[in-house]
Amino acid sequence: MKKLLIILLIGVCGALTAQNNQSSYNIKRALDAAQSGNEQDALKFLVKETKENPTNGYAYLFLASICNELGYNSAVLRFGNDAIRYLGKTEPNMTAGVAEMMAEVYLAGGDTVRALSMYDRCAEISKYFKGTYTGRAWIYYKNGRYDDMFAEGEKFAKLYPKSLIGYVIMSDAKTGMRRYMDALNLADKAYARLEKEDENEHLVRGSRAKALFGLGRYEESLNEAVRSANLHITSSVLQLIEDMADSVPGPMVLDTLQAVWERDKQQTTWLYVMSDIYRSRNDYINTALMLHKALAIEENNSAKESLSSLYINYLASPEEGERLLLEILKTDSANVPVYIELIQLYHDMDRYDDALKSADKCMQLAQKDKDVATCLMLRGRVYEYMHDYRHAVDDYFRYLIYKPENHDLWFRIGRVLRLSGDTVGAEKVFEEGKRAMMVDNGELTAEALLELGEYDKATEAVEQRLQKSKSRPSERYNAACVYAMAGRSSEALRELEAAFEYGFRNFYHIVWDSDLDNLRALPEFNALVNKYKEKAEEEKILLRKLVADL
Amino acid sequence: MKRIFLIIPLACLGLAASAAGKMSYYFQRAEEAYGQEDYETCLNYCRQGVEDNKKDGYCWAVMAEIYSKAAYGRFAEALEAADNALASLKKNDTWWVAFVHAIRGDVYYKIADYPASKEAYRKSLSIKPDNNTVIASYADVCATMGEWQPAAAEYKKLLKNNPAMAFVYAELADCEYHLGQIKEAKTDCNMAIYLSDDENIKSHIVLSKIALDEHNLPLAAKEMVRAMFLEKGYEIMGDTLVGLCPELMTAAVINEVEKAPNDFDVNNTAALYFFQTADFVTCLYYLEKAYELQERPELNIYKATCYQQLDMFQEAQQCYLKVLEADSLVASVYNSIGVLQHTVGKDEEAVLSYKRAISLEPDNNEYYRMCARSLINIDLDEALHYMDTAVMLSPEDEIVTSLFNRAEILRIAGKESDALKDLNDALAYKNTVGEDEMVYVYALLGEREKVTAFADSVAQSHNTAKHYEVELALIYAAMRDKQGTLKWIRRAFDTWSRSTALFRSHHRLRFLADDNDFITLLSYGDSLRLKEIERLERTMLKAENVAGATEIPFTRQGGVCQVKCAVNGLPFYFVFDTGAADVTLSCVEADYMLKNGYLTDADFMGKQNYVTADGNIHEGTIVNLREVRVGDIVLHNIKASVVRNQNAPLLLGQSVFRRFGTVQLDNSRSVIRFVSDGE
Repeated sequence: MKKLLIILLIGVCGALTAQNNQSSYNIKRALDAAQSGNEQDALKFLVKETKENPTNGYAYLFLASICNELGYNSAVLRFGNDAIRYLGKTEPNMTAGVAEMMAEVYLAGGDTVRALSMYDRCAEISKYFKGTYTGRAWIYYKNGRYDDMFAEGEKFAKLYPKSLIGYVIMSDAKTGMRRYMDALNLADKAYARLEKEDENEHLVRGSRAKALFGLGRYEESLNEAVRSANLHITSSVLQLIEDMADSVPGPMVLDTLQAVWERDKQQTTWLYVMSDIYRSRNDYINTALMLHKALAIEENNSAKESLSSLYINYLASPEEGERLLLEILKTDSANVPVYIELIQLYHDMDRYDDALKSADKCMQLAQKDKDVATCLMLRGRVYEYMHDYRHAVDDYFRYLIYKPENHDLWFRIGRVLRLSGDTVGAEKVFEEGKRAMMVDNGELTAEALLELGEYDKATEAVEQRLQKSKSRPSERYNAACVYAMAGRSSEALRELEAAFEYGFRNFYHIVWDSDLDNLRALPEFNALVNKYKEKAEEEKILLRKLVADL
Repeated sequence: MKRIFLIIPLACLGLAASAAGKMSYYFQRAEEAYGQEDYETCLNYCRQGVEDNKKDGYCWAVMAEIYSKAAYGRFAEALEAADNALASLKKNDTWWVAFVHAIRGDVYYKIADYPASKEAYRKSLSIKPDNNTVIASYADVCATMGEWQPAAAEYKKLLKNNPAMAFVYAELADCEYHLGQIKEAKTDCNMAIYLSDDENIKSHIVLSKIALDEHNLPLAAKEMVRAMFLEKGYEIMGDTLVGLCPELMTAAVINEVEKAPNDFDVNNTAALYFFQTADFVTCLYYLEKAYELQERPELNIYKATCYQQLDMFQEAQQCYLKVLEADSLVASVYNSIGVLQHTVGKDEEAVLSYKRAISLEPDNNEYYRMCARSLINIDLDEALHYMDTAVMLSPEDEIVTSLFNRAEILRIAGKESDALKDLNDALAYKNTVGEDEMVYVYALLGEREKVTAFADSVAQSHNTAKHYEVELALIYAAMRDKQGTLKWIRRAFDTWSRSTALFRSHHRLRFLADDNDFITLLSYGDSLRLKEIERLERTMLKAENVAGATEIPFTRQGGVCQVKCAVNGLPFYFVFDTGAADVTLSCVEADYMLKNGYLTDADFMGKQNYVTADGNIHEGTIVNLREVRVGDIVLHNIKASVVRNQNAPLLLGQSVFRRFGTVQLDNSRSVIRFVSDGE
C-alpha cells in the first residue's frame, strides 16, 4: 500500500506540473477513490480515462499501480507496458517504478530472464533509479552470480556514493565469493556511511556478521548478528546464527543468546532460535524447555505443534503430544498441519479409525498441494497397515501426482502390490521406479535397492548417506531398518542404538514398524529398547521438573 | 492456437473510409446493418454498392470480411471479394489494404492452404507491422507449418508490446519445445499459467509433453489431466498416457475432483474420463454427482450407456425414459432404446422404437440400419428394404458400414452375388475410410491376413479407449472363426467389457450358441459383471451413506441377541456383544474360511492377548476381515480375533460398533438399528 500511495502522491504532483492535462476529471476521481481505499472505483475511472484518452500514460501508470496492489498480475504487465510507452522519460522515476513492478511480476512467475530485462528497461528510463540495481543484485544473489551482483553494487555506489546500500551489496557479493576480508572492508565502508537512526543499519550489521563469520571471528559475528536482529529480524541473519551454532562447539552461541533474551524476556524470537539450536544438537529436553518458555509468554500454535512433535518423537510422551495437538484444534479447528500430525500419531498408536478420521478431515480442509500430498501419504500408510492394499495404492498414486520427484514411492507401491498378490503389477511398477530414479538421480536409493532385493548395494547406499547425516536420529533409524531388512542384525542394532543416542524415542513406531521384524526375536533388541525406555522415563521426569520451575 | 479472427469495429471502418473521403451511401448503409449484426442486409448493401461502382473497394472489403466468417463458409467468394477490393483500393489506403490481406490470410488458413495464408499475413504485416492480431495469426500459421523459429520470433515480438497475453507465452512455449529449448519452454508455460490464473490449457499440454519426454509419468499425467479439466472434455487427451499409466491418470483425475468436489463441470469431466476409459461404475458415480448439482437431461444418456455396459437394462431404460420426459422428440433416444430392446431379444419392440426414431429423423441412415438388424429375425425382406434405404441415405463416411451390413443380410437371405457386389463396392472406398471400418469388409470377403494385421495392430497399441476388442470378436465371428472370436471376447472381458448380453444376442455369434467354450467364457464374463455390479452398489452406497442407517432383525437365544451378518460374503450368526472389543471368530470358522478362500494368508495380522468375560487372558490370532455386511451397510477392513476354542461363540464387538455413530436396540420390534457416519 505504501508504494501505491507514494506513486499516487507523486502522480498528483506530476499531474499538476505536466504539460499534458493530466488533472483530468477521471484521474482526479480515481485518485480520490484510491485515497479513500476504494480501489475498484479508482480502476473504473482510470479505465474510462484510457478509453477517452488512449495515450494518457498517467492513467496506465495508476492502473498498473493499483492492479499491483490488488495482485492482478497480467494487468500490471499490460498497463505497465502502456505506461512506459506513453510516459517514457517524461516521468522517469514513476515509469522506472512501474518497470520495477513488472520485473517483480516476472520474478513471481519464475521468469528471471524477463525480470532482468525489465530492470534493464528501468535503467534505460532512469539510470538513477535505485530499484534497478537492488533488484538485479537480488536476482544475481539468488542465482549465485556474485560477480554480477558485485558489479551492481559498484554501479550503485558510484551513483550514490553517500549511500551504504551499494557497499552492502558489494560486501554480500564478496561473502558469496568467500572473499571475507574484502567483504568485511566493504561492510566497514557501509558502516562508515551509517547515519543516526538509519533504517538500513540492520543490513550493515548483517553484512558485517556474515563477513566476520567467514573469517572465523565468531564472537564478533554473533554480536553483530544479534544487533542486526534486534533492529530488524531477517531470516538470513537468524540462519547465520544457527549456522554459527553448528560451526562453533560449546556454549558460546547459546550463552550469548540466553543473555540477550534475559535483557528482554518478552522477545520470544531468541527462544525459538535457541530451541532450533538445541534441536540441531539433539538436545530435545532443552528444545522443549525453550518452547515452553515461549508459550508461557505468548500463545503460538506453531510452537505448540513443534512441542507436540518433540513429545511424540523424542520425549516418549505421545499422549502429551496428542493433548497439545487437540488443544490447538480447539482454537483453530481448520489447522491442517495438526491433522497431519494426528494421522501419524494415531497410526503409531495403532488407532487406525482415529487416523482415518483425521485423514478424512485433513483432506476436506487442505488447500495447499503439499498438505494434501502429505495427508495422502500418511493415509496410504494407514491403509497399508490395515491391509487395505487397494486404497493404500490409490493414495500412493495420488501422492505421486503431487510429488512426481518422489521416486522412492514407486518401490513402496510395488511392495504393496506384491503383498496384495499382484506380482505382475508390482514388477511393472518397480521397472517404472527404476527408470524414473535413474533418469533423475542417476542411481538407486537404499530403499529402492532393498525392494529390488539388492541388499548389499542397499547397505552400501545407506552407508554413503550416513556420512552426510550421522547425527540425525531419523537417518540412523532408517539405516537400522535397511540393515535389519538386509539381515545384518549387528549393524542394525548399532544404528538403532545410535538413533536412540541421538534422541529417537518413538517407541510406538518401533512396535509396528515391520522393517525391524528381523530383530524382534533377538534378546539384544529387547534389551536395547528397554534400556532407552528407562532413559526416556528419566528424561520425562527431568523435563517435568524443569517446566514446573518456569 | 486460439484463432483471433479480425473483428472490425465498424466505427474504425467508417472513420477510416471517412478520412479517405470515400464513404459511399451503400457503404454507410452496410455499416449500419453490420452494427446491428444484420449481416445479410449488410451484404446486400455491399452488393448494391459494388453494382453501383465496381471500384468501391470498401464495399468489396466488407463483403470479403463477412464471407470469410466461419458461419458462412463462403471462402471462394471471400477470396474473390478480397481480390476485387485489392484491385480497387488505392495503395496509400494502407489500413484497408493491410486489412484485406489479413482477411485473405484468414480464409487461406481455414481452407488449410497454409503457404498462401502465410504469404497473405506477411503482406499485411509489411504494410502494418504493428497489428497484433495479424502478428499472432502469422505466428500461428508458421507454427502450423512446423516453422518454429519464425513462429517463436513473432510471438516474442508480440510479447514485447503485449507482455500480459498469457496465451502467447503458451504458444511461444510450444515453439520452444519443438526447438528443443526446454528450459525456456517450461518458463514460458509457467508464465502463461501464472498470468492466466491457471486457465491456460495449452501450457499444461506442453508441460505434459515435456514431462513425457523426460519420462516423468506422474507429472505428465498431472499436466494432461489439468488440461482436460480446463477444457472440460476428454478429446484433448491422447490415449498414450492412459495406456502407459492408467493408475496415474486416474489418480490425477481424482486429485482434480477433490479440489472442487461440488463443481458440476468437474464431476462431469471426471465422468467423461471414466466413460472413455470404460470404468462405467466410477463414471456412474460421477454422473450421479453431476446430476445432483445440475439436473441436465443429457446426463441420463450417459448413465443409460453405462448401465447398458453392465447389462442393467431396466436401469438403462429408466434413464432413457427420463430424457424423453424432458423432450419426447429426441430421435437418438428412441434409437438407443431400440438397441437396448434388441440386446435383450425383444426385436419386435425394438423395431417399433427404431421406427419412431425414423419418423423423427427420416434422413438418418443409422436408424434404418439398426431397424434392419432387428428385422433379420422377423422379416428378412423387410430387413433388406430398410437396409436399402440405409445405403441410399448414407453419406460417404458411413457408406462402407451400410454396405457391409447389407452384404451380411443378403448373405443370410442366400443372395451371395448381391452380397459380393456390395462388398466390392465397399472396397472402392478403402482409401477414404479408416481401417477399422474396412476390416469388416475384409472379414466378409474372407481376407484373413488383413483381419489379422488389423488385430495385431490393436493388440500392440495403447489404444485402450477405442475398445476394438468387442469389434474384433464380432469380426472374427463374421468369419466363423471360433478361436479368434473367443480370444477377443476374453480379451474384452479382461480389459474392460462387462456385458455378456451383447455376445449372447448378436446374430453373428449364433454359431457358437451351444459351444461349451463359449458358454464357459460367458459365465466368466458374468462373474466379472456381477463383481462390477457389487462395486457399483458399494460405490453408490458410499455416496449416499453420509447418514446411512440400517436395521437388522435379531433373535434371542439363550438370553443373548443373535444377528445375521456376512463376512467376506459368507453369512454368519453373531452374538451382539457390546462388551466385546473385537469381532471374534472361533478357529473352526477361521479354518473353513481359509480353506475355501474367504480368508487368505495376507489377512493374518499377528497375535494379540485378549481378556474374556471371566477375566482370563488368552492369546488369539488377529485377522483382517475385508468386508463385513451388516444389513444394507458394508464395512471394510474390520479387525477380528480368532479364538483357539472350537466352541467359542462368534461375537460382534466394538470394532464393528465404533464404525457407526449410533447403535440402538429395539426390543419391541426385535431389530437393531445401526446408523452410520459414513465409512
